[in-house]
Amino acid sequence: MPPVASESLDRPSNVSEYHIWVNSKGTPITESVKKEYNSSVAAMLQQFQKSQFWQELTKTRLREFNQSYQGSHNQYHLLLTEAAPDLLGKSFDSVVIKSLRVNVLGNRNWPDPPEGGWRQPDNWLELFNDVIRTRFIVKYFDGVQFLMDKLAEFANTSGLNVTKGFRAYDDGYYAAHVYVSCKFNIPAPLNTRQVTTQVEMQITTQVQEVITQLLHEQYEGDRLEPPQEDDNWKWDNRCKRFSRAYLGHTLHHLEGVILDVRDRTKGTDK
Amino acid sequence: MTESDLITYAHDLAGIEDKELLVRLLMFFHLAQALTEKPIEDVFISELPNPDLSTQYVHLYFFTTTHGFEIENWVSRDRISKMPWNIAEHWAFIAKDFDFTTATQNSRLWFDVQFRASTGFGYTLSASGAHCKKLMKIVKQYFDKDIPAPH
Repeated sequence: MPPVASESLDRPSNVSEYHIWVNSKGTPITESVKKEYNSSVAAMLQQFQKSQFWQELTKTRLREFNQSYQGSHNQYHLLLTEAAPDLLGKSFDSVVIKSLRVNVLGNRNWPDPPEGGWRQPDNWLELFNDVIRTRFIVKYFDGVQFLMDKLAEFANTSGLNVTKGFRAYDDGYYAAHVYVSCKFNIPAPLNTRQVTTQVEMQITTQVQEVITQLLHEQYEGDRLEPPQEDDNWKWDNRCKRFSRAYLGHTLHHLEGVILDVRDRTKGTDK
Repeated sequence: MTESDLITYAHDLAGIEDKELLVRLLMFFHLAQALTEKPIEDVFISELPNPDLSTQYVHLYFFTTTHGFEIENWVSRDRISKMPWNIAEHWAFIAKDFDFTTATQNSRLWFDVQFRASTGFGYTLSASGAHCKKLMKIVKQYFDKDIPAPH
């Protein structure tokens, strides 16, 4: 087997090299780590699913939010569906890739730890805020902020710490994210151990969701690339990143126009 | 092992009262049995006490005279894996308030067994209270004949 260049060991550039680097730091990512992570995620999903917050949100509050939006927006619907969205746990492969992105590819402090410290299996659950996530789909552009505010308000009144904000990235991703802090009992050797971590609730429009689904694979692949410092891709119409990003931006603009037309038609133009 | 043995164990030692979980347990029992020509002879449900004294169920194991079946996170997942248990190579215990023979309400036992290094796989079994003795029986029966039998 050819020796691995010290350069690649020093700064891994892909998942295989990352595993070697992680091993060298004494925190190998083994099958046991995978099993422990998967057990924790399964427990967290189960507990959040059964939580009073989630039960009340999905059984009564979503309907109320929808009605409230309809009442103030000429009977237009807020949500694509009032059914509870799926709760998803971050897969083990994804969490490894995310730790590679944070520890290495996007780490401006390299070779020192990134802000907040090295992301290692024993702190993934606490330091990553999207291990448990869900996505609400709204029909119109203005529904994103409406639902973001409603979710945050409901989380607040439920006694949960909450943060919220819009996301608008260069790569064409547009959504709002609401994070609620929750305590979970996760498996540990002799008793369960309590961790406090955030659950991510994404809010996006129906149109953006279609694009996200279509381009998901490509997006995941791109996230394994070191962040590009230059803007050359913005002038290369043949590269995939260009197509995806500007499709996202264009649709975002179009959705704004559609909303404008909708509100003019119904006489609710501001 | 009969359905009745399984339910008695799950209820009395593992503390499962939820009917849906018992039904799910039976489903896995039949699935595992369908994947082997040998009779399922034993079972173990990994469990951990929560701070509020409720119980968290983790992995489920069935054993035949040659193989172990594992259903990781069986409460919410459906994947069954099968492994000959005689390739176990290394094990580790963590015990609290348990001398490996006599269990009290506060006893806790964690057992981690790793199969041949090339597989990278292992089982993680945990128990509390009287269930610790059941775990010791499983360990003796399938993973280490050398350890003394629990009283």
